[in-house]
This record gives sequence, C-alpha cells and structure tokens, in this order.
Amino acid sequence: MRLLTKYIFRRTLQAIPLLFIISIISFLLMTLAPGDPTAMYQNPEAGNEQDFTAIKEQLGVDQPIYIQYYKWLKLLVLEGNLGYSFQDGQPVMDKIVSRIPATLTLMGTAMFIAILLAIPIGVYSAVKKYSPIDYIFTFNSFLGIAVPSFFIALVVILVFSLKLEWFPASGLRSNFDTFDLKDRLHHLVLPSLTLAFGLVASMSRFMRSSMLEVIKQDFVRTARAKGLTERVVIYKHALRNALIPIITILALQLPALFGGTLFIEQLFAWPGMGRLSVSAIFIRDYQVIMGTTMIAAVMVVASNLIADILYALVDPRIQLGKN
Amino acid sequence: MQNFKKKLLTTSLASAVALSGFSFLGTDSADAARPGFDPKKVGGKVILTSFSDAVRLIPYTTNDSASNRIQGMIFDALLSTNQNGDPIPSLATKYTFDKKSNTYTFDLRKGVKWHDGKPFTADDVVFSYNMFMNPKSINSYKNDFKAIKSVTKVNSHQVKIALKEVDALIVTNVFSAAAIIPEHQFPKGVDDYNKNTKIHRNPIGTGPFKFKEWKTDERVVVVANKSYWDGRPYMDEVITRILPDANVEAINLLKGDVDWVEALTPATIGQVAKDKDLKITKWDYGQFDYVGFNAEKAPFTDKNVRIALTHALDRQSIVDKIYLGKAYIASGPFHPKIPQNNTSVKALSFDPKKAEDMLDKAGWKLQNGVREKNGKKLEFDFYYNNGSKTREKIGLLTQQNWAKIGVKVNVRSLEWSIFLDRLDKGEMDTYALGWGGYDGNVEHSGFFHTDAIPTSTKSGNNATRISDPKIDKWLDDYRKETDRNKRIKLYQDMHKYMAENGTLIWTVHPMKNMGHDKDLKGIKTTLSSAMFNLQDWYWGTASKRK
Repeated sequence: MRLLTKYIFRRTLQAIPLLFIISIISFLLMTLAPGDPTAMYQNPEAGNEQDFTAIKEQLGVDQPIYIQYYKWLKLLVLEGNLGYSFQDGQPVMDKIVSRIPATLTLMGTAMFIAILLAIPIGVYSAVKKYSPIDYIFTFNSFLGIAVPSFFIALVVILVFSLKLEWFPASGLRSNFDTFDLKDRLHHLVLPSLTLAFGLVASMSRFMRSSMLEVIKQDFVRTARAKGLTERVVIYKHALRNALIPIITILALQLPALFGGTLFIEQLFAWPGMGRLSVSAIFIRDYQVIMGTTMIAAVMVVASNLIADILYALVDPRIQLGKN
Repeated sequence: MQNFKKKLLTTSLASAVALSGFSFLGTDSADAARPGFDPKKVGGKVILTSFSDAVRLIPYTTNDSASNRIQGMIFDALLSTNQNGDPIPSLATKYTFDKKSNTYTFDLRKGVKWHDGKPFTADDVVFSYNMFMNPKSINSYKNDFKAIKSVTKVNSHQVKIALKEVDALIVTNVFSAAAIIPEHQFPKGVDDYNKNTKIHRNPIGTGPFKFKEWKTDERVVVVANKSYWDGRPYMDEVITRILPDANVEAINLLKGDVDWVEALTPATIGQVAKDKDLKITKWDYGQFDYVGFNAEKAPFTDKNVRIALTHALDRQSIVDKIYLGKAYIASGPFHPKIPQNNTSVKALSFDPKKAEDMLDKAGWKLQNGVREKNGKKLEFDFYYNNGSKTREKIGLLTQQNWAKIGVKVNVRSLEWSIFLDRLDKGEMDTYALGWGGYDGNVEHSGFFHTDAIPTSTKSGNNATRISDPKIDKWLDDYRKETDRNKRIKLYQDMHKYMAENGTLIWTVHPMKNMGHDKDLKGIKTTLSSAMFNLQDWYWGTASKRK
C-alpha cells in the first residue's frame, strides 16, 4: 500500500507540467481564435474610441497574450483564483462551483444507468453470440454511437414529454421553494437517459468483446470441465475477469461524458457546467473558458489516474510503482 | 416601463416631440391607479421565456436583451413612451424646455418609494445620470448622453438637465430610456455600479415589479409592486424561464409549461397553431432585412450591379415561402408602419430580364454561364450565421436566382461571433442580415453614417461601409431638425434616394409571431417591444387569477 501512495504522489506531480502545458495551449488557441471578448460590452452604435479602449483596459485584453497568460497563471498559482468573468464580473470559481452539483448529478446518474444496462447487455450478447437478440443489441449500439445526442434529445423530448407527457421537457426542477426529491428525479430522467444512451452503446460493445475473449480462455474451459453450471461459469469465473478492462474504460469515459453534457444541458435547459462553457465560448469570456477547460483537463488527468489505480486494485498481477 | 430595453436591439431611438416648451399634465400623487384599471383582473402568474440568462440587472451595465427585459420590469425612467412612441410622464410628472439656455427642467413625482421603502428624490436622478456619464462606468451607451452638459438638483423634487448642443432626439432617446437607480444602494459609487455583483443580482427599483429571485440559468422571478405609483400590475408574479433552444421553447409552450414566447421560429409555428389552447399573434416589429456587402469593394461600388442584383432576387418568394407570408417586401430601411416610410417609393420589381440588360450595359458580359468584366468573373461568396434556417434559405434562393442572370454565388455559413468579426472587417462579399428594434422615433445614423464605419480601433454598425455625403447630410439634419414634420420629410427623401440608388439590397421587413396561452389577455405590442404593457396583461379565466 505504501507503494501505491508513492505512485499516486508521483503521478500527481507528473500531472502538474501536463496541466501547465494544457493551459498554455488552451490559452493560445482561445486568444488566437477570431472574435473579441469586448464585443459583448460594446454597443456598436455608441462606441467611440475612448469607450473601446477603456473596456479593453478594464478586462486586461489590451495587453500582449503572454502577459495576459502570466496574470491568469499568477492569480491561479498564488491565490488559487481562476479570475473574474469578463461578462458579469463574478469570480469564475463561484460560477463553476455553483454549477458543479447539477452537472455531477446528471453525469453520475447517466454513468450509473450506463453501468446497469451495459454490463448485462454485453454479457448476454457475448454468451448468445450471433443470436437475434445479439443482433438487436448490436444494431442499437451502432445507432447509439452514430446518432448525435442532440438529435436523440429532441426525439426523447417529443415522445416522452410532449406526446406521452410522462416527464417534464426541461429544467432542473419545478418546485423552487423546497428541495423536492421526487420533483428533481422526475426532471432528471430524460436528460440522464439521453446522456447514458451513447455510453451504453459503446460500453456494451466493450463488455461484449471483453467477455468473448475471456470465454475462450483455458480457465473457463477448466471450470466447465469441472462440471460447474453454466451460470457459475459465466458469472463467477468469466464475468469477474471480463470486468477488469471495463473499469479502465469506464474511467476513461468520464471526459466524453463531460463533453456530452455540453449538448444535453443546452437542450434540457439544465443549469450546469456544460451550459456555462458553451455560453462562455460564444461570447469569448476568456476567463470562464479557461476555468471550465482547466476543470475538464483536471478531470481527464484524474480519471486516467483513477483508472490505473482501480486496475491495480482489481488485478493482482499488476503492481503500480514497480519498475 | 419597458422603454429602455429597446436599445439592446442595437438601434437607438429618436424623439417625436417638438422641442418648444412642451409639457405634460400629469397627476402628482403616488398610489393612483392608472386609467381603466380593473381590480377584477388582478392575480395569477405568467411564465415567459428567454433564450439566454440575464447578465446584470442594473440598467446600462449590459446590452443584451435578456438583461434589459428584466431591468425594464423593475426600473422606471424620468419619462416613458406610449404605444405610438410619444413621451408620457413616468418618474417625472412634467417637464419644460428652455430653448435659450438649452435646458430641460423636470418635476419629479412625489411620494414614490424604492422597492426597499426609501423615498425617491432628485438625488437619485442626479446620481443615475452621473453613473451613466461617468467615463469610468461600463455603460456602453455613453454616446447617447454626450449632448448632456450637466444634471443638477434644484430641490428634492426638481432637476435640471442642461445640454451642450441641440439634440432633437434626446427626449425619447435618453429621458424616456435612462432608468433611474437608487443612490443609497451604491455607497461606493461607480465601483459598486461596475463591479458589485451583489447589487447587480439584487436590484432595487421603483418600477411596477419587484425583484424576487434569480436562479442562474434557470429563471428570474419578479412580483407585483403593490404600491406602484401607476397602480399595481395585474399579475402577481412574472417568471422568466431560461430555455436556450427555439424548439425546446415551443415544446414547453405546447406542454403548457410556459405561457408566452416572444417570437416563434417559422418551423414551430405550424404545431403551435394546431393547439386549441394556444394562440399565435403576429406583430409588426421595426426591422429591415437586407443582403449586405462591402460598399468599398468592386463590384458593389457600381450602382447598376446593386440594382440588377435586386431586380434578379425574387423577394415575393422570400415573403411567401420563407416567412410564410408574414413579412413585407422592403424598399428601404423604414418599416411600412412608421411615418418616415415614403409611401410613394415602390419596391423594385422582380425582373431578371431587366437585371441582365443592366449588367450587359455595365460591361458584365456572359461567358460560359458566368458574367465577366475585364477578365474578372462575377462570382462571390454569400454568408449567413450558422443555425439560422431563415437566412440559410435566403442564401440558397439568392444563389438560384442570381445563377439565372449569370452570377455565381457560393453559400457559406459562419459561427455568429466569427460572422460579426468578419462583418466588422468588411471581409464578406455578401451576407444576409437584419437591423431592428426601431419605431417612429427611428434614428439611422448609427447604421448609415460615414462616422459609423468600423475600424480596427473604433466600433460602429456601418459594416456595409456606406459613405455617401448625401446620406450623411440627411442623417445629420434629421438629428438637429426640431420640427417633427420637417424631420420626417428628411427621412422620406432619404428613403427615396436609398431605393433608387440601391444603397443596400433590401429584402423584407419580417413580422414576428408570438405564441401564447389563449387566455392570456391585454397584450399590446409596439414596433420595438412585444411586452410594452406587461403590467396590463391578465388572465381571462378567474381560476388562473387565484
């Protein structure tokens, strides 16, 4: 275990230069892209030279890019401050923190649904390879991977909200006065299912192939030869081994899931980080874009680390921190 | 209320009132109910929608429509405007103008209280104008205030506003637009005005509605100000839900989760029309759409080319097929419902034959299907902003129509902020765009004047780069002319010239279609606002007023 702690510590240290490089690249790409953050402050009608420069000065975008970057970095490193939104002057950290619960709820639920569905689907497909049901699942998976989530979202809203009227079409809640769990869950169903759809599609494919690989191996044949029932062979011997690579894939899906929220939150009017990022990009709110990008980067790095750690925990053959 | 929100549609307003000592006869007491007030209509809540969340709720710290709309519910200006766009009393009951000293004197309404209970006085007016004009403030409409020399308190309920220069438009442009903010809420003055997010998110006004709550990206709620000087609004509560997608907005309306949508897209109108509980009200909105270009670049420097392209464009199809009949063909920048529109000007006919003759005469000869002059082909790109179905269709129609007269067009889309960036730099050959939010107080300098051409250091809305001394003169004279009829005549003459000269390729004046619950009554619109009289909206059915 001491080995593991050392490993985590080393990986975390390694992440620092990586995040630093990510921040430089993001900052460069963002500032080099066309569009100007002062545009949102300007009434082109009224703008005169003085107004224009005054606002630029206030936002600090009149300075060369490397100085802007230096200032941003300094604030972050020395004070842990992600800066202030160009748009409304609120601390970027506050803006992000206030939206994290909504996004995490959505992502967490989607992940949970995806695990719950993808593993049985994958196992079934592998065990009944090339059966009609396997083909149906396969077809659905390709559909889920190929059809963009914003399209699925609109179809889902039309069917389950407008036609069947089972669920609300948008928003986080209808009851604003108290915390009403039933109301929250009711609103959560459609967006989390939509977000989970693509995830189920890809994960069930991984599960299927991982399972197929394991079933072919000697120890499964041995288990069968010992006269164990098919049930025990599949669930006790094969499944546990097949799950190992899935854990890695699961952790690596986190960034993709976060990307998915960009669309889902927009269409379901979900007040989370995804919407914050999208609107910040549209108005070139550099500070908020950097904030959300860095949070996403940290998430990717962290999920990679988590995947490696989980891998070591479930598979005794792998030992981290040993050369 | 409401009037200062017009501005965010990136156009400014002008006055319809002569400047010669005009004054109001108004009541002087607070708590008076407005004429026609019917206590039976009181009660209930209405749910509106907005595409984006508000940014700040303090007037002139923003220029987006979402913020301005909410600010309009909470704050009042010195004056307001009626449905025709004429000024009427608001926080000031009366004003006089002294021509000699070029000074306005306002008598303020007595007994008005801020939403937090503090009394409204002349100090608040002086403070507000000082904030808006402060060189350090983030107000992006400072130019509107540039004619003002000073704002001074005479006594607790009288202020004088002295001007540096004649500004025929200041009454509606500024006095009816600049909402008054409470001095006591801004102890640190301009610093609080610019940066205090606590104040920005908890506005205190004098308006018909009081701020209640703002849940970021979810909704903003205001409630009736029961002691409003002009009588309380009928609705107890107005909720603005933030729904960032037009389809989702329509679905919520169909489901009955929202009551009112300002403008439905053509694609969603059909479904809303089928619903028995809903109603679509089309309303005239002061806007003109056009195909723009860079007027400094060939071939658009040639009037014949511009006119020929207009003749070759089937604008009736734009009206019928793209706007489903809900638009007027345009002949210039003035909406048909305003007096500045010159009724004797007729839109150019759809006449491809004539267009071809004109291009032939101008030296553009047909070779292998595409016209050429001096070895240069008549071929260019046409841009529209990504996601706008209407403008995409206009682009495709343009491509078809112009191909028939030997002009090759490539239609391309750009993301909005990149579109705007290229627009400012004059880099797009042709593009579809609109300009709107004006009414009978229209003032078009910002769009057509040489001074408004954007450069690398200066912003401006004359992205077409129209620089015509004749047009500049009309625009300047209009601003200075204090006689209303003469002033309107100036713009009518300009309209005629712009039509004949093909200053732009005018397309249509589109109408807007609001969708709402059939039972939601009392809605009146103006050319610049769909919720001009929000305080008079009410529910027809008693059960909804509970």
